[in-house]
Amino acid sequence: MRTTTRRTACVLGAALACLGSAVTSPPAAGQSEAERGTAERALREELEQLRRRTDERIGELERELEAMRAERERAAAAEELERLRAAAEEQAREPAPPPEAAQPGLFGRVQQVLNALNPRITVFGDAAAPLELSGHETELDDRFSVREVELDFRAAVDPYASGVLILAAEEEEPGEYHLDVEEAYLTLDTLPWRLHAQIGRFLPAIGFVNRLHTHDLPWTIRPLPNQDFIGGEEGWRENGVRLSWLAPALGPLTVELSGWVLNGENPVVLAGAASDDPAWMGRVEATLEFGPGHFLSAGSNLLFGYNDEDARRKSRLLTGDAIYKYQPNQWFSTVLFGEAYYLEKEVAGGTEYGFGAWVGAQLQPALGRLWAPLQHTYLGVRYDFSNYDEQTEDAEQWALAGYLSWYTTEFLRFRIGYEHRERESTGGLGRPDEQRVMLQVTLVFGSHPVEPFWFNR
Amino acid sequence: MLAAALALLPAGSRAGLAAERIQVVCTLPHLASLVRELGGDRVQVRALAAATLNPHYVVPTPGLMAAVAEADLFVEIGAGLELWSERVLQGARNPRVRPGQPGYVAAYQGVPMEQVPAVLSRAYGDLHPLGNPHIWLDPLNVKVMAANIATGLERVDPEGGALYQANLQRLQRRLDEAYFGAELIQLLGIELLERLRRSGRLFEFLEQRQFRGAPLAQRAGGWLGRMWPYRRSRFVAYHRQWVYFARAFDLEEFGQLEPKPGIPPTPGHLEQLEAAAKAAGVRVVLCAPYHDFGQAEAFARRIGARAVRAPTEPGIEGIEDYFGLMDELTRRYAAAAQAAD
Repeated sequence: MRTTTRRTACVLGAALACLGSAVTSPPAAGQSEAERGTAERALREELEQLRRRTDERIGELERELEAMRAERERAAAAEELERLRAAAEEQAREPAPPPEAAQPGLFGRVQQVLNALNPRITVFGDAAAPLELSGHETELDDRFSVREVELDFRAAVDPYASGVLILAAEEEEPGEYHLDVEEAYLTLDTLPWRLHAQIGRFLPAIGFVNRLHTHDLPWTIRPLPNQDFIGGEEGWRENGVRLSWLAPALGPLTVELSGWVLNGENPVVLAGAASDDPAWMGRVEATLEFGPGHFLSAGSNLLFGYNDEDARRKSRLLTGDAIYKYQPNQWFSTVLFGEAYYLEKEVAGGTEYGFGAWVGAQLQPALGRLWAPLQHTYLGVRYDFSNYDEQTEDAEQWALAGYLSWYTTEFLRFRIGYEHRERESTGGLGRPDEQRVMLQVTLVFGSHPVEPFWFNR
Repeated sequence: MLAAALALLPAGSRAGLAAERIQVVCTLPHLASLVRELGGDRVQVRALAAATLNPHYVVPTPGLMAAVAEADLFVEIGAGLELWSERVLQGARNPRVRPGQPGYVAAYQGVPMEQVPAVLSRAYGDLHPLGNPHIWLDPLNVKVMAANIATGLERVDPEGGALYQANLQRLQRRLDEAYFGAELIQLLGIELLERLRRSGRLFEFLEQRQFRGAPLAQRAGGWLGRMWPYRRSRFVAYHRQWVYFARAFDLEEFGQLEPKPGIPPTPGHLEQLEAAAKAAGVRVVLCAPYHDFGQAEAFARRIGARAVRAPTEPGIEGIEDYFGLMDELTRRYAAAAQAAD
């Protein structure tokens, strides 16, 4: 290309030289003035054209040169890019650095497959030291006691059902434990039409406290009405079937309807272990949600059954319950809650009526803002009233309880509780007033199932 | 209660306005953002948890259950992040969206997990057996999560399959460009860039190599370009949730205010951390909106660093979607790191 350019320049130079000599040479003899003028113009025109063509050609050649330079540049860039990509490939092929280990030796992939299909297991331990200040002293008072150890097993049975088994060992006499099946049930999780079924032994949802195991209670002992109307300090457990239906939500309002057929073995309201006839129970529960962590939930149960073997004497228990919770963040929460019970129980010679209720409040006072380890500190009070006790005719009693709970984590809780109980009886069988302080430690280890929404921690 | 419910009822939620659309319920707002990108007008999506809530601790109320009861598709991170979702799914009584059914998506599947514990013990705090589940703070992981969601959408709505796949391609391209910048992608190609990043060699490569006489790193754009000047900067986090963010931008998580995951900070631990963080030149303290920012700020002051209130979800402070979230996060980190210089 360079040779061609040089050759073109030589030709061009020669042409210009000839042209120049033609223009400057003297006029030929015999030519008129006009003819000479014409010839000169022609020559000048020719010169002009030649100059234009030359300029054009130079332009072309310069563009060619530029293109050559760009091409060379592109080729070099492509070559460099190829080398770069090859280097990147090489780098990408090298083994990755070890994954980040925040604590030396703690992290690394390990497949734990051997127990993978075993149920999830949780162990709950509930230790207490009840200090009797006045009144009736039980054998378990004024001593340390691991009052309950609970084993919770749960797993999917198959694609349609899940199973739960909860075994509890409770200290009934000092040093003597009684093993019991607290719950053992199957849930059918894939029923159509928003239905859900529970079959087996469980804590029926009468109010919300009865659904809680003792170690989950926000207090050290159950409220009086729960003990007087549905029995026991461990809650009412029954065998039977529950079918529930979740209605379509109406904005922030949800409603759940539940129906039970139970053996009717409640020892207070129904016939106890002697029961031969089923008991029936229905519940409606409505929840209104104002926002995350802010709701009002209210429910009502109606229990119907017989309290004798021959199914002649009927019992009807009507309950109402409500819980309001406001938890705007993890430092502060407040809960207001309560339950009420109304009983009609046919007995020999008439009908017994009973009424009981409790109301309570709990506050998490944001102490965690002042000192983070106090984040999960809760203060609460509760007032109980009951005028029914099947062992004491016409008994009226009330209680006032207060407590302070502190959780290090969701797995370990320390609590101190105080309860003052007074009882009046027109039948002359009243017991003295009782005052008790309870120190309690509750721990959880294992998988720890998620608590229900109304859980009050 | 009924009257109150009617008063609180949002106008748009009445009368099943979107009855024809595929109903998708997600646990977290960023998942809902991805579903919107993938499904467009074909889906109606709702996130169960608010952006201000700690994703570990959401109260599984009946309202959440009722929302899932209507769903055609349920999307969660999985990997043990949303432990509460199990109770929501059980209470929802919707067999279509239970794990193992076509309407269930665990978005974490296929994502390379970090910090998988070799020893599972509560002595180490709230460990996640499958690894740290805060995976969405790395855009590369989000590409995998989006693919999982698109597959789920296609399962429950085969007719929309072509649309979901086309939207997936578009979303992944956008994520790539937003993360690496167009110029770097043009040079090295996304597949190679992604492999380099996953192998942990990208930053070293960009740093050491030149192209046409200029450092290759100058070609990085997007979030990577913004964060490039602060690579290898050290930060302290309130909670161990930034490992994927650190991986994405070559940052070093020096420690956490929580002595163990999920355990509130203790004075003794903070004292130790303070001395070490000062000596190490920590510049930034990251704190999610649901943790105690006051505490993070006080700690940052003590070590001469800047505290950053770091959003982890779209849906707060004007952040509309996942892209907005990462924009804001990188912007805030860069500003804090620069100010602390």
